[in-house]
Amino acid sequence: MSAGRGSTQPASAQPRWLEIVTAVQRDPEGAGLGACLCRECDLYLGADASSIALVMDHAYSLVAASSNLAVVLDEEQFMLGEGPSFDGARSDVPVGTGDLGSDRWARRWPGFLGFAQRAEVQGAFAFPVRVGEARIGVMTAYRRGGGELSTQAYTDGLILASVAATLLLRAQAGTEDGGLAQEFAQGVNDQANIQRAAGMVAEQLNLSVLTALVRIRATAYARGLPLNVIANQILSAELTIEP
Amino acid sequence: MTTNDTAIDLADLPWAGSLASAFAWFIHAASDGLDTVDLLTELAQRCVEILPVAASGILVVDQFGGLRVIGSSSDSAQLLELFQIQNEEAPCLECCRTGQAVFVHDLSAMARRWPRFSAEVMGEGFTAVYALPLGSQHKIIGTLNLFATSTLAADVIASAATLADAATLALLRVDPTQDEIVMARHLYDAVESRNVIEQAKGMLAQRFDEDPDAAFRRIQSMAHASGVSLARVARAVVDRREAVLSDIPLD
Repeated sequence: MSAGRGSTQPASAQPRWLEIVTAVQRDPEGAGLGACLCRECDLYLGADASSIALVMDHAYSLVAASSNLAVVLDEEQFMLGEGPSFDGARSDVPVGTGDLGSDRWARRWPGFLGFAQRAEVQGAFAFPVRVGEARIGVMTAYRRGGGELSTQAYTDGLILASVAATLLLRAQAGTEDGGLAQEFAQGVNDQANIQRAAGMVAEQLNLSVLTALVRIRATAYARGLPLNVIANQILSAELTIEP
Repeated sequence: MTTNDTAIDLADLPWAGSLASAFAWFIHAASDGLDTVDLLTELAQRCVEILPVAASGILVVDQFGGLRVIGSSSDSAQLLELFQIQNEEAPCLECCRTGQAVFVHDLSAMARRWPRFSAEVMGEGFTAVYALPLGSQHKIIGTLNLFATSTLAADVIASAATLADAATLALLRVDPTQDEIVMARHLYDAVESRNVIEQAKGMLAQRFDEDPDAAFRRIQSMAHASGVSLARVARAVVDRREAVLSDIPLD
């Protein structure tokens, strides 16, 4: 957009949303919708890793990620209960920064900051995936380098998150009542042991399941282990959470 | 991939929140069945509310291939667009014909090209005009026209283009009968029921010192006995009110 004053300047040949929808639906290798969304999120937002996840009540389940970096950064946030993706899933507007280490953001997400720094990630931008008032999940772009998103990247993120909501729901629309689209099944199944462990701990300590989930997260964090490792230790009675 | 390198702080962009809300609003409005005129009027109004734009208006291609004004932020913008149609000279018409955005950063420099239009627009106090296409390259449904009292920054134009995209996306819905809110609810229920069943399995396995499969069979037989779904039995177990399962109405 560098046209001089007074000139008429043609913009791109097709509207941005159409370009993005077309790009997302390009899937020559049959990678699946989630993978295509993350691939385009990397490209359009200049991200080093992207993820898309369902977040419903207190349950997080991964739909897809463009690399393992995004998986661990996502999981860390939902274990800690803080971070841009965690907040973005509950927000009406995008949440994120290109400078996680700055005072303002370090105060907001102190736990996540340490983890992001070890992973050498300076920026994280989370876009709510929602349809009207219905929250579905969150799409997150992680960047190793610092710096904020350009206006174009920001608006592309809005378009991608909206496209994600539409296409993911369309995938779900093809399933039978009560069924789960292929795009979601794996991530939800991966959560099964965590949910079951929460039920066990709730029964052992006479807590609500939600409180039990918080206790499991805190234990995972304190021991520096992934949530599902802790969950498996609880299920096999290898680990008992103290009252 | 980006056409604009202006670095901005996501959280500090003055209209970032409004832009995201407006975008969501358009997508939501379409699934609510809001009609075209209302939606496009809203687009014109949001541009003026959110962005440093003095006036805005929407022109659409009617069924006979002519152009008509469908929504505008003010009477003055409406007058201007009527004027354009009558005179068949102006950036909006060019945008509609070519499907490409037209930026006129300084109208005085374009007075020779569009003499009557320029005189009229400048007479209203505007110095810059922008026309953004609505629709796709293959099907232009109209244009979003912005009138400003100074050159608009690239940020502002990109934001307006995003709003135009949202409105177009809403208008060109491939399958407008599909109710996404209902689908979102179904997805939520499907995920939630799987989670709550696992939670209940964990609780019962612990309580009766049995394996998860045995716990699941226990949930199944409770569901069978009380005539409600597995998910509702599981919810009752998790909420520790399975004793009143028999009071749950049939679903």
